[in-house]
Amino acid sequence: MKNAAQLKGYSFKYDEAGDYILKNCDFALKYGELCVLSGLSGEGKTTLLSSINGIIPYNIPGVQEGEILIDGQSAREMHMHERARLVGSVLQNADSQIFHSKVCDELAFGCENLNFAPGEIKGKVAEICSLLELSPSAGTKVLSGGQKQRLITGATLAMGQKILMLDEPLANLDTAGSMHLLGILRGLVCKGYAVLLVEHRLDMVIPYADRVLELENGGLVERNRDDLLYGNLKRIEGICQNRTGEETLLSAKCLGYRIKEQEILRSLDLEIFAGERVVILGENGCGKTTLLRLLAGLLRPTEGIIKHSFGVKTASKKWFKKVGYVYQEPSYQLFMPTVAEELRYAADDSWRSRCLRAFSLESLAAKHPQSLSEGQKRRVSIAAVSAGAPELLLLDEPTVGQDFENLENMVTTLNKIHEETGNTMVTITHDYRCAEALADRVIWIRDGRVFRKGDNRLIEDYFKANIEAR
Amino acid sequence: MDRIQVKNPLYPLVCLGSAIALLVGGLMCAKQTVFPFFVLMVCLLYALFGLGKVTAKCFMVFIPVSIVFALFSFLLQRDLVTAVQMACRVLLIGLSAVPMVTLPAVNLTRCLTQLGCPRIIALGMLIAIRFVPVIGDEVRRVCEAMRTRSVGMSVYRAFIVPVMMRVINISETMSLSLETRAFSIGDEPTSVSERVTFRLRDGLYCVSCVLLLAGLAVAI
Repeated sequence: MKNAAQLKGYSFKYDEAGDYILKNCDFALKYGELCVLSGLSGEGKTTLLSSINGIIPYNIPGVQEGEILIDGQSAREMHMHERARLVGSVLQNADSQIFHSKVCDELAFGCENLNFAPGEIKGKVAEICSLLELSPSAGTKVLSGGQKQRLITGATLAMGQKILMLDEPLANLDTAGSMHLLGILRGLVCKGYAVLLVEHRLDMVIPYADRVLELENGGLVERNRDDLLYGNLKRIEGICQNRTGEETLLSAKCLGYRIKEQEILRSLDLEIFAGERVVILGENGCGKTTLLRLLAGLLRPTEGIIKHSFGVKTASKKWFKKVGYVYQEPSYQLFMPTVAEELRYAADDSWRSRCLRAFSLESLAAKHPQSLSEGQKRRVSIAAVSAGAPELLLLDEPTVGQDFENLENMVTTLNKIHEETGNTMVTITHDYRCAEALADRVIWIRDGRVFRKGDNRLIEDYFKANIEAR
Repeated sequence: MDRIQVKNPLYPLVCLGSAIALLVGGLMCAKQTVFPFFVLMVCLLYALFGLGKVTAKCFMVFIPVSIVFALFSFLLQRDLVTAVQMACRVLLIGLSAVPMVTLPAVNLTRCLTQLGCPRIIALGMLIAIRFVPVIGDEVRRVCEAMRTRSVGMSVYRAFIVPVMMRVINISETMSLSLETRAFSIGDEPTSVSERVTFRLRDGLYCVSCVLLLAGLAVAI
């Protein structure tokens, strides 16, 4: 039986690079198989996927050696749009891939390109919307990060190719959403589809995978599924003493935020105490990022008020010396020519060297921040904002795109900074492995309201409820 | 862009045609006393076809812009009549564009595809229309991110680098996404999930435009 995709002694190097990023890779993906590709950030996972779906060499040139077969045919002479008829690809950065202003149009787009009949397209759109819990008439601009990710994944699934390549499709998805998507992929595999999944959240994906491959020094190594699962199921230990602050740093009363008729937050009351670590939990689209942006002074509430004790004007230059905000998308906050200078912008030399070391960025110090992988960029943006030693550090999904080692390192570093500076940390995360290590207190948001508040034991309840809801 | 779209947009080619015709007609009478009546009639026409709110929003943007242009013109030429005419022309550009800005980009793409227009042109227009608000959003987000890192506008690279990188990344990702979603510039057959049709309402709008322009021609 022919393989869905096969690499035979495949090597690749970027034109400007000195060394090969993929070296003599041999790999076969069979129909009816879900294979996970793991590896450290920047190791070449996206490069491997791009080599199969044709982004390499048609959009990104480089030196290729060896052979790639797709559905038994040599891919060498197959242009990208021809490969797209056989291989469905979900790329990273869902936000940048949306063309249309309505969900239904976005889902229909690929089907139109494949010349599906109008009736069939309508059926596909309805099916995907119900499968991924999307509203066909919803505007794409008001979707949350997780909903956009679901939409882009749905747009690929609607096209119906039997070979699927997904690059970090769980980024920004909550636990229930991730399990739901993985369940759908598993269902497709049972129907004979072939799925290759690049993902860092191995704790989530391994239970659904048939095989796990790891990219190590450019080569592909098959890993034992159970060993990897055990290693990645670990929860990261917190190193901080749990504290409950007494002095109120920020308080919100009857907080509401709406965009046109859409109510995102409603009658929300909360307090953040000085020196505590708060984790905000909630399903995709419940208003977590909006809440964090309101707390940062980047948005103005449409109802209610936010009081603070910083003694400076909200959202002024002095305010942002005291309030550090790390974006979900790191590229916005990086502008210096090297990683070292990026950190130097915010901190003196001793802090800079410490942050470089602590966030494992020493080897990247001379590189341009914008040239790094998404996971590496995220570490740089967190290091750059933390280097300014803000009194309040707001982190919007800082753990996306991190392998376990970097995740553990990042959490430990954030906690060390917290211990040393006594800062207040508010973190949004969907990652079960690190939520407890980052929390003294937990705020659970549901439908734009505070659903429950409590100490970090609430994390267990949240993830359990999140899974049971499915 | 989403904020200025209407529930029931006109047929795309009607929007395009009327925008051009009303702009040309308006420019022809911009120096005449009949111009205010022309503007009034166009506003009435728009209101009758459900574009009233967008016209009001358009005025809110274009009246201040036209005043600025008029002031510059007056400062340079010291002639009040020329300044007023300048303001009228600027206002007219905004007014004639109203039907186009209410048009969902996907309607235009589908209409052009239905008419056999090469897909590269149809999609090119979709992306161009889509890119305008995207760039606006990116500029806004980068300015916001600059504030979060306590960077003033004087540090030009804090604005230029992220904006350029984001625009390059978005355009790259968009083009990759297009191709991975089986878009091709070749002659592969494609379909349209919802046909955009010419309705009676579009016909009535066309007739009204023609009558308005005919009346204008008689008046001048």
